[in-house]
Formats: sequence, structure tokens, C-alpha cells
Amino acid sequence: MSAAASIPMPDKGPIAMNDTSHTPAIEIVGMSKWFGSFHVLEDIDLKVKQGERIVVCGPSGSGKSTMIRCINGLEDFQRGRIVVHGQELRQRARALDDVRKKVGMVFQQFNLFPHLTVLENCTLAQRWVHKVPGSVAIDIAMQQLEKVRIPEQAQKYPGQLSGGQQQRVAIARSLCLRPSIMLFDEPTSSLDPEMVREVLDTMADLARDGMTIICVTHEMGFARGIADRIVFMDQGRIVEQAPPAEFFDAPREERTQRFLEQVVR
Amino acid sequence: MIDYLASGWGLQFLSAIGTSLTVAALGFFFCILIGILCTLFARSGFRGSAGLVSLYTYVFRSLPDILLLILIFYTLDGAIQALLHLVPGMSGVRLSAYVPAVISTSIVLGAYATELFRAGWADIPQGQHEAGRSLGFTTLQSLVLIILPQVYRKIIPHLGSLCLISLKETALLSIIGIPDIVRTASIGARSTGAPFVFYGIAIAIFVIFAILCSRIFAHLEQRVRQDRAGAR
Ligand SMILES: Nc1ncnc2c1ncn2[C@@H]1O[C@H](COP(=O)(O)OP(=O)(O)OP(=O)(O)O)[C@@H](O)[C@H]1O
Ligand SMILES: [Mg+2]
Repeated sequence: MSAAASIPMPDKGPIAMNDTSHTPAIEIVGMSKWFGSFHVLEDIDLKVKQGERIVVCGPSGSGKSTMIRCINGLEDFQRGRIVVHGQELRQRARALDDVRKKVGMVFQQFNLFPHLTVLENCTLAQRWVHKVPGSVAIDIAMQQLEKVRIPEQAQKYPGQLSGGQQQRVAIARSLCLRPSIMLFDEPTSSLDPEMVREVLDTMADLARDGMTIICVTHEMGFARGIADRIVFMDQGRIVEQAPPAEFFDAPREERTQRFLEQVVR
Repeated sequence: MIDYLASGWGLQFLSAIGTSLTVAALGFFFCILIGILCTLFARSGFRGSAGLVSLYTYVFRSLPDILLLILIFYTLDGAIQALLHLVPGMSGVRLSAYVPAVISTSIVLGAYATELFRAGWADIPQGQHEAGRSLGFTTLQSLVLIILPQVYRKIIPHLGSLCLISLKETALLSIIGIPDIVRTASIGARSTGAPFVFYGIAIAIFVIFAILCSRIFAHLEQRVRQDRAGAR
């Protein structure tokens, strides 16, 4: 956590207005989900503006992963609605293709394809999903690898990279598809401490570029520096959401206070 | 030995090699197909599909191959003949013995292949499927581009043994009258009274193929290895 505290603050100025900027990037309304009889998400309401940076935190098992996995259809849900850029996600995980093209996801375990080189990891979906011609796909991949500062590793295999490098490749792989929203599920939790910083820096770059971000993380320094809003979850509910200053310095809910005491000491 | 080979047995052996190799290659190809399809079916989530696949692999791995071959040969032959009778104009057609031969070899080897693919598949982390889905790949694309190549890498050494077994399995074909390597050798041995020469040739052929086979798979394994270098 201390590693992230000194991250440079991105410019939080107003996002450039365009004709669609009034539609929220993500709108979750009254969403509920059960795993069998276990009510994992209860009546979730969350509205994310374009270019907004949301950090989701909360105790283990509170449903953070499940919530963001619902946004790109990795999990289905039983009640309520999720609308991504004006497109409603059907409750029964169908017609997700359009939404998945707009939403990138980065996982705790990187999930790079181990049998492909870094470059191939970055071109595979471009070529097969977006039908981008080979040479163009390579150009885009190299651009993104430069952005995450590892173009020199392009010909290596994921198994030859450090955890931090792998996670940056995973970010580049997502960015190659030009998503307008990025979801991060504890992207630094399985990294050695000395590698946390390089990944957080990469995410800070993204935030600076105006990407809409929802990030589940326990890096409170990062949250404070980057987030427009912090969403705190407990037992399947959104308990409190507030801008970082308010969230950390004057949390309203008792559960939030207890959580912050444990995490920030 | 040269005399025997020159006096027509050489050609016999060549055609026997062709026969055995063809059946082995087809059997190997189909058993891989069966392995993949059964694995997909077992994972499809249909009620009882996994149990059904387990039953298949259990039965066909535990009974002696020779029993199965005979069983499959006769029942299949009868069934196919009966089917052909239903089609107008096909009643006079006799089925080549190769068809049940290939089918039975495939089914038996398919049981082993299925076990291999299921084990290999179970080794692929759930995250690989999720990464594929979140990048927008269809199920088929994800299967062909992401999952199967990784399963292949995990099971390639075992595929090598399966390939060897498929060739060995063809020796059984002699009992249903197919002139494979073993049958040719035994006929030659009996009619010339030189068993050592003929069985020696048969052994030599199998050994040579075993060596070739392991060479090929060692090479394939080598190619796959590169991306494991430095892997955790
Ligand atoms: N596939 C599943 N089937 C049944 N229960 C599940 C499944 N996935 C998650 N759960 C349960 O749902 C609850 C929420 O899980 P989730 O992974 O969303 O929590 P989380 O907030 O991300 O926790 P963590 O901080 O540990 O990652 C947990 O109690 C978990 O055990
Ligand atoms: Mg989680």
C-alpha cells in the first residue's frame, strides 16, 4: 500500500464533451444475483459516467469480483438491469458481443495465453474477433506494448516475464481492442510488492488518458490518488460511495469505518 | 532373407505395411477426434454426460482389446449390413473389412485419448476460458485458438505413446482376416518354413516405426517446449 501512496496524481479535469457524453458508460439498476440459494449481490445500483474512475473495495467475499464480472457478462444475474453505453445486457448472457468489444478486463492472475508470444497475445483477438489485418494488428499491438513500456519483450513468452511485466502485457492485450471501459479485478494482488508500482503506474496513465475505469483493489494510496469515487461493498451490497477525500477522511457508515481501520491501520 | 523378399514377399510386406499404417493413421486420427468430442460432451453440462463418458472410457480401457475387436467387428458388421439393406439399391454391397477395423480401433483408442484430453483440459485454468470470453472470442474460436493448443502442449508426450499403441493395435487386425504386417509374416512363415526370417522382418518393421514415431514426437515436443522456458 505504501508503494502506491506516492503515485503522481493524474489531472482530474473535466472530460472532453462529445455528443454521447450524456449517456452513462455503465448503469446498473436494482441488480441482484444468486449463486444457488446464496444471495451474492443484493439490489446493486451504480452509475458510472464516461471517463469516470471508480475504485471498488470491501472485505473478502463481499461480491466485488462478482459485480464487475457481471458487467462484461462473465457472470449472469437474475434481477435488475445492466446497461453499458446504452446497450442493455440481457439477463441470460446473450448478445454480449457488442458489450465485450467495448469493455476490457484485467484479472488478478493475468490470464495471458501461455502458448503464444507477448505479441501474439496482443494480436490474437484483433485478428479473429475484430478482423484486423495482420500487419495492422501488429502495429497496434506494438503501440500498446510501448504504452505499457515493454515493447522489447514482444517476442518472449509470458512464462519468461515477471509478474508485473505479465500484468502490463495483459493490460496491453485488452487495450489493443480499443475498449472504452476497463475493468480491473485486483490487478496487483498476486504481484510481489516491488512490482505493484509498475502496474499501478500503467493504470494511472490510462486514467490520465480519460479511460472509464472500474478497479477492484486494496491499494488505498492508488484509490486516493486516482479515483473519482470509491464504492464500498459489504455482504453483497453497496454500502457507501463517495469521493476519496470524503470516503477516507469522513466515512459515514460504521461498516466503512471498521473496514478502513483494518486496511489503513 | 533377400531371396524371400525378392520372390514376392517383399511386395506382400510393402502392402501389409501400407495396410497397417493406413489403419493406424486413421485410428489415431479418429481417436483424437473422439477424445476431443467426448471431452467437450463431458464438459457440456448435459445431465449425465460426464458419467456417460466415464463409463465409455472405463469399459473400453478395462476389457481386453481382442475381445472388443471381435465384438465390434461382428456386431458392427451386422448392423451396417442391416442398415445397407434399408437403402434401396445398396443391398448387394459388401462392406470392406477395413471399415469395422478402423471403427473398432478408433473406439478402443478413443477411450485412452478421451482420458488424456479430459485430464489435459482439467489442467487449464478457468481464467483462460474467461480471458477468451472477455476478449470476445466465440466458444469455437476459444476452443481452437486458446484451449486446445494448450491441452495439446500438456498431453503431447502421451500422444506419442498413443501413436505407438495405435500401430501395435493393428496387429490384432490379423484375427479378422486383414492382411496386416503380422498376418503377412505368419502366412509367410508357414508357407516357407522360415519363421525367424518372417517374424524377424515383422519385428524390424515395428521397431523402425517405433523409432520414427518417437523421433517425430520428440521433435514436436521440442517445438512446444520453447514457450515453457522460464515458466513458473
Ligand atoms: N461460482 C460461485 N459459486 C458459488 N459461490 C460463489 C461463486 N463465486 C463466488 N462465490 C461466492 O460469492 C461471494 C462473493 O464472491 P466474490 O468473489 O465476488 O467476492 P470478492 O468481494 O471479490 O472477494 P475477494 O476480495 O476475496 O476477491 C463469496 O462468498 C464467494 O464464496
Ligand atoms: Mg475478488
